[in-house]
Amino acid sequence: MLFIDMRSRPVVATSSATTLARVGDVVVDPRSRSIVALRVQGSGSDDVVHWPDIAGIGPDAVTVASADAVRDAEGRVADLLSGSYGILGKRLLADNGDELGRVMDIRFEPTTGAVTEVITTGGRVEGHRLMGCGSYAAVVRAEDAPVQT
Amino acid sequence: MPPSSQTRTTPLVEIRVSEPLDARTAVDVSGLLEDAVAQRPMQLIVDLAECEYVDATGVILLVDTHRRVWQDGGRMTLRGLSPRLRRILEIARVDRVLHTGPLLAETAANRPDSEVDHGMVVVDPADRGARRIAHSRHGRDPGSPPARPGTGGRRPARAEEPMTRIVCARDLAGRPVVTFDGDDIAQIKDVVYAATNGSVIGFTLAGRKLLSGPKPQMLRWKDVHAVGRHAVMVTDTERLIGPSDFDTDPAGGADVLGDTVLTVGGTALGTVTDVLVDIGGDADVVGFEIVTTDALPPAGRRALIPRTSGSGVSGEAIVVSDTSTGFVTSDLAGFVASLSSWRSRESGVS
Repeated sequence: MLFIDMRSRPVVATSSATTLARVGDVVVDPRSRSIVALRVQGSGSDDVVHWPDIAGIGPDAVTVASADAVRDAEGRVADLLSGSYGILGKRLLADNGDELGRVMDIRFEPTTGAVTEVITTGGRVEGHRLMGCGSYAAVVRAEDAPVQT
Repeated sequence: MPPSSQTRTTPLVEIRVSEPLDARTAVDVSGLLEDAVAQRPMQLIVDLAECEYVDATGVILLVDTHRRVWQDGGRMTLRGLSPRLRRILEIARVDRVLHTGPLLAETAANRPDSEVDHGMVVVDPADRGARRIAHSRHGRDPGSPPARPGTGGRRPARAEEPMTRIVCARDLAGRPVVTFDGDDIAQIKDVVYAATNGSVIGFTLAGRKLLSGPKPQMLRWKDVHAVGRHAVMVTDTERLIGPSDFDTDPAGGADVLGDTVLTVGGTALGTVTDVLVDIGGDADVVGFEIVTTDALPPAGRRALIPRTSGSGVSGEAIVVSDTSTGFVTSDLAGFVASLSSWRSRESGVS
């Protein structure tokens, strides 16, 4: 699925059936090429839902077990948040130094969070080519053949 | 939610935009497009013949609509684009994403399948450069070997394509140095090359941020992963080194800017204003940009001249062969062609 379809969806605790927050931004770990957390809005100071804490991603809500799932970032997620993690809107650069466009969206595998595609203003790039995401750009391995669908 | 052909009953929806598509009108147009997408058409035509202008909001709206229609198995086509609108889409770099061809249904009969829009197509990363290079390759003798035979030496980026990619050293200045992690850790300040053998040794660097100031670090060519049109790529921060580690021999790294270009016969052809580097190969200096003397009339014009291998280069003058005057060109495209014939001539002579 595309992240844009998940954005702004309510994060609902299944134990209390209450809305805790709304999905804001996505935290992608370029090393594992997968979504590791969601930034959420409207929950006060704690604003991260770690990927393993997500119980379900449905058409109307993202569910978590309880309000504890919205918490401070830990471990790798905290490391990523301290840097320039935001991939949406970032320029996408191939490792040959040529720019491919701006990142508009990412497509991911809902069960694992694996990024399957990076969608840019210049076209789409397979997720497995993702190498990094830093202060200047998200970097992907340059591939010879363009993807056609 | 994969599209099912059973429920697809609307073959074509057409929307005509008769006002400039900008932030002011985007809400209205967006509503229309929304309705159109909801009908799940096979083909959505957006007629922009009467639309004078599309701004960033409009571009985003069009791309978003295209994406949604396409995901649903349909196709969106922009029709009636004026040259100005085409230009806007080009600048926004979405001209290859949005289909702007003729109406599929109208022309399907006399149209080969290969031209049918297959939705979003990834733009070749090297698109612009490749086009330029392909253009300049037309000027080359098709029978002549590639300018850089792919033997030995490391070759940054696309090792499988032995392409000549020539840039003015000046144009590299200011290009960011980016790691595989996506961080811009410096930018190119100057190109340092060995005057003795005419190859680029590396780059001096400047800081990227105000707080960093001038960085005392340098980047060796052998540590460069690739020089692209937008960035110089390195694997990681460790590639930057201090000036003391920069293995330039004392005689090397001579500054040839301002040097006189002199023929073997003793005619001054001009003064060097820039160095032309082949970044597609082993970063050799392949030529010079000069401001000409009377020997290459009209005097005072900018010209590009190939470097003669094996001839003398000092901080004072560069010696080229007498015949090189026949290979002077005024632009890079011409230079690439000229260089190729120059090289085949040079190798034929020796």
